[in-house]
Amino acid sequence: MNKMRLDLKKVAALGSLLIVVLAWTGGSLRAKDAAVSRLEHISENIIDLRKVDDSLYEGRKKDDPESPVYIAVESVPSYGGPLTAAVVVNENKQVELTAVLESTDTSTYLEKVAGSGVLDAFIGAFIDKMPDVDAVSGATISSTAVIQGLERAVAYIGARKFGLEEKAVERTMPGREWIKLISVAALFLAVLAISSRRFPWNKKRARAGLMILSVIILGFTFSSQFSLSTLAVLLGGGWLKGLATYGPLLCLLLALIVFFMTKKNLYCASLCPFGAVQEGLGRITGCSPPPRSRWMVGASRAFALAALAAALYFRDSSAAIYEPFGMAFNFIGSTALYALTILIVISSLVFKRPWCLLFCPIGAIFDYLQFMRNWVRNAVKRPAGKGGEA
Amino acid sequence: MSGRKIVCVFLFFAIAALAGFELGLKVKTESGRRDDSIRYVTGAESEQPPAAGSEEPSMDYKAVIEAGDVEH
Repeated sequence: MNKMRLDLKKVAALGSLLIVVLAWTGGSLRAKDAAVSRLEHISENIIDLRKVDDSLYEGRKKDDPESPVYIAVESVPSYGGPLTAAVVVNENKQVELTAVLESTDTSTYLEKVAGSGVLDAFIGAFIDKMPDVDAVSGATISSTAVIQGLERAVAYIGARKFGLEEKAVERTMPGREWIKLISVAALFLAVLAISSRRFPWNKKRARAGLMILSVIILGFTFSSQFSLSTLAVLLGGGWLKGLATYGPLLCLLLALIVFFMTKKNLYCASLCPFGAVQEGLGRITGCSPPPRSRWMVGASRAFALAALAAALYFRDSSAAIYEPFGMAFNFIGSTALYALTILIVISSLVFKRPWCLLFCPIGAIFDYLQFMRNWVRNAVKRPAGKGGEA
Repeated sequence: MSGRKIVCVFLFFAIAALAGFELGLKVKTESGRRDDSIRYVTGAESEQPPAAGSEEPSMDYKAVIEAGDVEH
């Protein structure tokens, strides 16, 4: 019976790997670089669009065929990967239209940027007197990327078509990136030190202190907690084109390194800020873990696999997100995520770490890695053992 | 089945329903999105953008697509 269950697990593990590979391949085959196609839909009033170079296009106005318009497209790193912005400038050096053609940032954040009037702030401006547009609080990374992309596009048109000096448009990405990365690395060093046998002080207290720090640093201050979307960014290759922040990616990589070094999932146990919040709430009532059935574990893993496959197929890391981390620490998200967060917070008083133990995809990923590692290790050991007996 | 187990099963389904709603909405909008569709566009031909917190975005905001969230 146990042998049959193990075989079933192996089939499921290989099947999951196959699904991820198929989703990744399917995503690669989907249309890439459809910038011209998108530009053709940017305005009904622009006709005869032709490519001048990789970033510049020319067209004419439908209602005034004698008037040329210039369109520049620029990609800049944003939260979930590159964000592509476009501007349309007329022959009077005036910005007529701005657009975000492509982005894998969370739509809630992009909606906030668009709703704050960032795209409109450039409309009507002359390219030699561009307005200084501020980033949007609460969506700083996405808004900075949009502003930077539009400014670069305007500068490109100015230099190529109007002989203006092309100023390097560089905006310092917010978040003090180096401090963020060093803080993430320091937290992982601390968790390694605490888990070491040579750690001289009280481990329970040190772990509690580390969890509080993690909530403050990874959760509220830097939002560097990784999620399933971070894994989708890593596997999908979105990071190769640059990211506005590498905090979550570094967090994921260090969590994997620590897992393979120590054979323990120390991130979930001691560093995950959302796990720490749940554990803190559970301490108030002294509750115990939820009784899990095998079908619950299987269902949550299947759910995580479906989300990861969708994100890889659509090459949109935000399509994989159903975790309440963003709502818990940044207070941004859909109504469903808001309800989910409230539900988890309340149920944390009844069960210990309900999200972690019932539904978190990160736990499912580490379980999968552990199973595969043991399988490979046993497969490697077995022939050696047989040889030794002979 | 104990009361604690019943509450746990109920909680599991509640979480799954909310997470499923969130994920399903995203997959639906992503799969309905054409490869040539633009995320946001605004300009001379456009009407005014929606006020922050507005329920109804204006048409030109082609905020066509999306629903859903990731943490930043």
